[in-house]
Amino acid sequence: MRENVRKLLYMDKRIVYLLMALAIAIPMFMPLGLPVRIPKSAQDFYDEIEKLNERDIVWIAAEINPANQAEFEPAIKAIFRHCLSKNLRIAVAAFYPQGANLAATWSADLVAEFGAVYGVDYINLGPRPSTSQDSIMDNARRDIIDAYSDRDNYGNPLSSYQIMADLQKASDVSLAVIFTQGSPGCAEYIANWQSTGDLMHMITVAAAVQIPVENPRYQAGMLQGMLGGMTGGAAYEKLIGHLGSATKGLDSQGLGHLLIVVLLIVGNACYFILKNLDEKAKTEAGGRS
Amino acid sequence: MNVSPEFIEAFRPLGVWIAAALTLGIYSILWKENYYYRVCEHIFVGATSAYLVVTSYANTIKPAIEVDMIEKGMWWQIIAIALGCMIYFQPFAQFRWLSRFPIALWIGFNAGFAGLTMRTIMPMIVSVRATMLPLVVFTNGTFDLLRSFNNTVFVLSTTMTLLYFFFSFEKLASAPGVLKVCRWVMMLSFGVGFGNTVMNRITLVMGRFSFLFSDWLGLI
Repeated sequence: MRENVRKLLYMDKRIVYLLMALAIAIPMFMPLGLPVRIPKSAQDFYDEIEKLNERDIVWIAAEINPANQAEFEPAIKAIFRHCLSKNLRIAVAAFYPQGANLAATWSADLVAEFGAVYGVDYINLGPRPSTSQDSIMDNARRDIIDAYSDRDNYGNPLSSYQIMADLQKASDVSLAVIFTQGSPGCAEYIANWQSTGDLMHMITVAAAVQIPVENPRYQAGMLQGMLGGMTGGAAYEKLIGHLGSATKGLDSQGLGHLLIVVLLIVGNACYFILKNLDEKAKTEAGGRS
Repeated sequence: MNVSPEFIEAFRPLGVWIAAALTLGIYSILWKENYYYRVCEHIFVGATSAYLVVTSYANTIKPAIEVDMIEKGMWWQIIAIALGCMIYFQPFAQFRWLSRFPIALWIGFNAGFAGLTMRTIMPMIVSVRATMLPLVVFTNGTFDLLRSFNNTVFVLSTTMTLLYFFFSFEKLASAPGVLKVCRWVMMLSFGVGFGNTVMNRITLVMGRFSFLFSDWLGLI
């Protein structure tokens, strides 16, 4: 028995990888339909957008990179759907180099579906290097066009777009939706725009790894709503009544978590059983001698 | 640089195959160290760096020269560009001193910007204020047990964590059991952080699996 327990405790890590791959892949072919719970933070997130008036401007800080596609793509799509269906206007900006282009790619279908016009209903300010985030944000507090050198993501003059007439400075924004997976993220927006009193309404879509960091800010009221990871994305999809890839992904995530919990229990049980057996063997050996 | 949507669409199948080959290459490290993985890793690092250079030039340097310097006549911005270029003297021992000027300026600017304003102080004050919660909560005139319990746990946890790093009164922290409770509180929060990190990592894998099964193989 001792050998079997030892084998189980020190099993080849590639078996764990294989089990995890199966746990994630199987629900993609055979959905389990796990229920989606709506946490208060997601409800608050939804309510913040619901409170806005027609033609208000929502600032989307797309601090995202391709690795987080599974977490952020459903949220970007759902936010665009929610905002465009409420006739809100959207401005996308980013300090992550790929952020602005990823947001544009992921929202392209929705922009076409709602017939949103670039420069009128939405605009993409493009990425700026994160090393100069504070100076850009400080400048944008007073003059967004100047902060972005009068050029959008595609190199065209910002001042030529209709939406920019109502988007001169940070206080013209009604709500900031900040995607965050580290820095730059909520901390920078709070420090540069909220602490100065320019923009008080901020909500966040936090990568799962960032939830413990953003949760205290949400509880303190600096953020008025929060979507945490794919679970938050699924809750938001349910709230807007349009289920997407976050809801589908919950099954894989759930089964993956279940596997980790099982492995943790099995690993600990094996550790204690082996320790017990080793001690017993030692006592028996001592008694014989 | 802008690429037309037609161009992107025409080359999409090729892009999907390259992306799938690179994804499998990166995952091959799970089996064992191999050259295929090394090649994919180098392509990844190279492509990311190149993307950053192109984005920085197209979205920051080019508009700064075209709009700010030429159109608006803010010619003095050439000083900033010269300072920026001086940082590249780092690898040359003889001229390394030149790179210290932009670094000193950069650190000085950030220290002043962050330290002399309310930007850093205000969020801290709000956070501290949020920990000052009532331990007994009444909702609509009736005692709210759940919120009272939550607030008590919250306040105690904050106090315990602070106490662990409070070295002024040695006897207080070394009282029997106090340090143990402080450590438990922190271990619990680290556990939450670990759980969320695992959730994040699973999601990353799901993103790649979804790409392989859907975009590449068309199975789902």
